[in-house]
Amino acid sequence: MNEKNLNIKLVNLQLKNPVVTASGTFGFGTELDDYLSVTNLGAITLKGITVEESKGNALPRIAETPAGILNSIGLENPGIKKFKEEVIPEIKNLKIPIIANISGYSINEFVQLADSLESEKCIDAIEVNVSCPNIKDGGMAFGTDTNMIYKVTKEVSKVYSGPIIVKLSPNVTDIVEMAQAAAEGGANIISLINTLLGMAININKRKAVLANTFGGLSGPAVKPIALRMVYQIYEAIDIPIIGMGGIMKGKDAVEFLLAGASAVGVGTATLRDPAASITIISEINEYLKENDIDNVGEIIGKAH
Amino acid sequence: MFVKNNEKVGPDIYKMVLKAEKKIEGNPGQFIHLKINNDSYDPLLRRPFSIFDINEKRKFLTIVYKVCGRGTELMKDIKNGDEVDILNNLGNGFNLKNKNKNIILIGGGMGIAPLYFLAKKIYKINKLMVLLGAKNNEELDFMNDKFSNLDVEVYNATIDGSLGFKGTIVELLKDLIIDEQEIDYIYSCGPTVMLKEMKSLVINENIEAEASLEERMGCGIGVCLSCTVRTNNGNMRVCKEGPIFPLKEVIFDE
Repeated sequence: MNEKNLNIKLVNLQLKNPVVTASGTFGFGTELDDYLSVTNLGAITLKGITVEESKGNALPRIAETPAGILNSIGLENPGIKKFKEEVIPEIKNLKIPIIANISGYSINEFVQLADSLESEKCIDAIEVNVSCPNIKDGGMAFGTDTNMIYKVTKEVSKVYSGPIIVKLSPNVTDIVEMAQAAAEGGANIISLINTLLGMAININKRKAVLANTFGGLSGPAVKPIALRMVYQIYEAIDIPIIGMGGIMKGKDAVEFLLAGASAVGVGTATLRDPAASITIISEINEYLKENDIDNVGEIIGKAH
Repeated sequence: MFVKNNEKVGPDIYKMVLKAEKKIEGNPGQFIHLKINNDSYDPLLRRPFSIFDINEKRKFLTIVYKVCGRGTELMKDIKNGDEVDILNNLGNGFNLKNKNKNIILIGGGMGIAPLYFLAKKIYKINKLMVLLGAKNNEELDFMNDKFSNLDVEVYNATIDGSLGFKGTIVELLKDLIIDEQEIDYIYSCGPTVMLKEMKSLVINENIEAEASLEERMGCGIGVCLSCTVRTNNGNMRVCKEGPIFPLKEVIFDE
């Protein structure tokens, strides 16, 4: 077999490989059981949850663009109460690190969610989503303001003792400032990028394709931007990074690792190929073999 | 799967026969999710198509599609013998429990496609009336021929009156109901505007009906929540809990 060592340690999270599912593209962890074995992944990030149930945005919620997808799902989810009652029992025995993704409309809601998850043993880390472009209040409004990022992270860290991942928005002038604010607020890990705000217009109907007008762009089209931002943060701050944005193949993941990410998120690729994340793991292994590298950790940041 | 045949059967309408290597599975109303291009990210997403027919013995699965965008534009040029990546067995499928009933199958435009496989499965144990609607006779010819080979009553409706009833398929359905035809159950598939009209009709007439819905999909397997529709029982994913829903329970946007 000649398998290489793909283990990654993210703070105290032990990942058997650097591939993590990106929030919103992997449901609550069990939906894709027909297509892959979840426990072969490095970790899974669950669909974003809010305090109250959210019905999501009107349809159409998705539009395909060249090498990309615009989405405006609007954080459809059952709310924290149902999540704890119905989802947790389904995933509590999964032998893999599980990251819960939380979204709030106020600092208080973020704190409430983090506090509520503190007691859930099967949740190994939380990802604080300060960057959802598809909700009107909160979401990205937090993630484009250094002061708010700092405050949200600081308050969440008071009630949550596990690793805190802050997911950053690329819709900012200086991504490094945002990462710094999160780090100062107490973030243990930075994940990026969330989607880029964009739109598509139907020229026959002469109106926006998405019911919500704007949506978040993901997929191969955004990869160069994501990569650049990971590179910048790695250069400026000493904090582990989960890099994501358009990773479709192992070689894309390797680029992110070389740019400085300790782990990578696979999102849009899963919508095209349900088992894309698993293929990417084996392709990373292939890369290491071809280049005679024993340990995936050796390539992190090596493009600098 | 391999493409056995990909041919034009009407104006911008194509039929693609796929051959499986092993077993072929799928029920009427279910859909496949077809990856159009393996080597390019444009188009990035798969395309969903309802199953038009399955021949289990020969391991054939057939879809009928209309060229209406970037994906189908490329699809029509897929050659016989080419391999295509398919996710199969998706969605819930039509209710197949009806027996000895007077049943109407009503399809508008490409919404006719999933009804053929359904008709084949249930026509021997029920009395079927099939209502087919489209813009004109050219769009209907292929489907009309296929259904006419089954032991079912076929009614056509065209907007321009070039085949059968002149008007919409729902207007034709209304006429049939007024004629006091005994109808126990309706299966429907077509544009949202058609299903919306049908919903009020079946509620007024108190006829049980189910509908196959179509919405823009991302993954097709229940994770991305792009195709969520509102129903009386809460949010439902067209790709997972659907695409077939009791018509009365679907909440159509105003």
